[in-house]
Amino acid sequence: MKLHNIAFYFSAFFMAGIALASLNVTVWATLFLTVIISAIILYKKERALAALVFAVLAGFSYFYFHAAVKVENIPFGEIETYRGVVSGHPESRLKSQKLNIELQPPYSGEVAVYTDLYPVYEYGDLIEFTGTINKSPSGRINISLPRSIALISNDHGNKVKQFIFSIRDRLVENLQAALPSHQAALMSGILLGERAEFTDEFKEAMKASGTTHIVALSGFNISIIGMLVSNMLSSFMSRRRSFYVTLVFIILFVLMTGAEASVVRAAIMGIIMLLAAQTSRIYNFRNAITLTAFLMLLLDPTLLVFDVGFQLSFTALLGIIYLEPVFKKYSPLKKEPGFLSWRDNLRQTTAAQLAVLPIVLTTFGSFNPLSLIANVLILEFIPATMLFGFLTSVAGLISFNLSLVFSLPTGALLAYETFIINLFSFNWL
Amino acid sequence: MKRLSLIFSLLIGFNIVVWGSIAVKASPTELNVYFLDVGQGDSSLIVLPGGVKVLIDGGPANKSVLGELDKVLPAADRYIDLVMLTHPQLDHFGGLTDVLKRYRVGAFIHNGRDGDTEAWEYFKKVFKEQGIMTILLKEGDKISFASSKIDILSPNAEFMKSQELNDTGLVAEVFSEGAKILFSADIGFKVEEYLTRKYDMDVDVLKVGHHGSRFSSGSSFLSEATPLMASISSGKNNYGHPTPAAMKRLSDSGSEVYRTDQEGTIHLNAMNGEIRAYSLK
Repeated sequence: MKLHNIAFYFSAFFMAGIALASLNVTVWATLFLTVIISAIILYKKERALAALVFAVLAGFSYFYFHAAVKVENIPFGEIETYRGVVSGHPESRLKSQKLNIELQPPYSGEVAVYTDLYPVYEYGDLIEFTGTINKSPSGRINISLPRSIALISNDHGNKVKQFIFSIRDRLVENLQAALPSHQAALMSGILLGERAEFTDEFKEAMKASGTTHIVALSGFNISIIGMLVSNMLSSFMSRRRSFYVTLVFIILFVLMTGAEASVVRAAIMGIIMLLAAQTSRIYNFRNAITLTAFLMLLLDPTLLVFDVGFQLSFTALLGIIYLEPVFKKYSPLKKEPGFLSWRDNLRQTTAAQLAVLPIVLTTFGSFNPLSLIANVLILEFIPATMLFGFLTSVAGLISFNLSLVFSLPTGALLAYETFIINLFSFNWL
Repeated sequence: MKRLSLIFSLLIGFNIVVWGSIAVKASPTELNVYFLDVGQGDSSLIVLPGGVKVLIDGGPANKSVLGELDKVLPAADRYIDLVMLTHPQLDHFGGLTDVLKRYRVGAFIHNGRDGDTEAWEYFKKVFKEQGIMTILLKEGDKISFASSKIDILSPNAEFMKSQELNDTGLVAEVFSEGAKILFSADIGFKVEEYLTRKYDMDVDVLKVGHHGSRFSSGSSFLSEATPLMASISSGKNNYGHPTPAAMKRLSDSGSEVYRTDQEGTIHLNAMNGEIRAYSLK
């Protein structure tokens, strides 16, 4: 067996092991399955492959190993006074403020602390709070609704991150200054994956219409922005040059959203997707995707089953690589890219959408056959919404009035999307 | 060629949008008042004939005021002429923090009294950062625009020194389109009695004081004011607002009583002395 094939099969089986562990399959069932499959393959005289099946066990144990080494020292359910630093971008929700706090000794671990909207705390603030910490119902995060909370001092964070967050805040503030609040909330969701200001009714409507995924920041969103930019640029410059410009654009976008781990992952996926859309050599991508997934899972094996963004990114990628060429071959659409490459956009987004559909329908709400139509009606406009939303927020850095000009088409698109979401959620019945 | 046509179509599009929005911006010739449903707190928007907007208080710290303003203002309207804070309590200034951040505001009006909470310190920081002009008003001051005017009836120098923040509230009386509307902040019996002694308090509409607390809307005050309509701004709370005692005094005065917690945002429209009320729920 060739080396790249060994790598491929090893990673694939390893990931299968992680999946089994995450789904709570018992050790014995996993062992049994592994041996059976290996035996079948051995019978077919594929010795090397039969041996590689045992990577399932490696993946299975890795999942538990990773969970065990995660250090956490929190006296759950007891009233204590804790100190910690705000470690992520604080979320200003409708009625409360959510802070991710990294506890300081004698305790350790991460806690999501919910407190009043004001005063506003910032990334890097050292905070003291008194109250109990409890596990969330899913058991994956720790939550506290403290009785009292106070700021001790500022500037305990990473300076670069602090700077990036301040840019992000400016961009969101610009959206909020130029758009009505419910539209600004949806726009921040589409651009930055931020759902902090969504009303419960709107969240429900998105769920019911099967459109929540448009605000789940994933490689899918990033690749759509990337594809849009590169397709548009390629009508002015060479493919290669437009690819590099797009790359810079994606990096800026990642910085803007705060460069959190999930976004960096999404960006890597987006770039691979972009490469896939540009070249038509399918073969190379099998290994590229598998290895990327493998490396991401080594860092955090819980992604595979518990992170929808991760799943969306990979399935969308598979769609673009494997489905898009089929469309190109059989659809009645002309092969030329067309004005601003609209045909390419249409083919690629449709391919990606079709691929993510099973995940979208099962994860984001109850199955509603009409959500297919809702998605078709909305998704074609998402790239344009992203573009105008982005222009609105960036224009706000230069002049408020300029951002108002861009806010008009943005507002019109958002109003249309909100209308479709509400229409297909049937909340008007 | 392609590029040129793209630039041209964009420019033409922007022109249509910009001139269109100027042309559409016709000024209303009537008075519109909205008692906004912001939960337990106070927030009212006054749109004077001619389109001048005055927001009195912003409700509690829950961003509801933003959603309600979305409903009553046109989407592209991001400007509020005057924002008035009656007194520095969280259920009145909480929502204003977000309003000052997200809207262009002509001037910020308050009584000059300082609050004593961290949330107030944050609010002060925001209005300083935004560089909004600040105006301090007290009893005797007036705001006028065309044929409309807003009189400030309280606080006087003595009430300003009161330990009780509710006594320091800016009380505003709006005259416009033949209607007289009193915004009585969170004042209690003491200030009410002072007002009845000093002024002709006969009004058409009353924004009921202190969310229908039992220490506000006294019988003697109501018998002078005799509002045709009274609006109570309240929401889920632990104080029992609006209290049965205040509700009884209000209905005894012959006033029709509306509550934002039941009707949602209440819209008043006045034109040539005729007042209509709508529920926006």
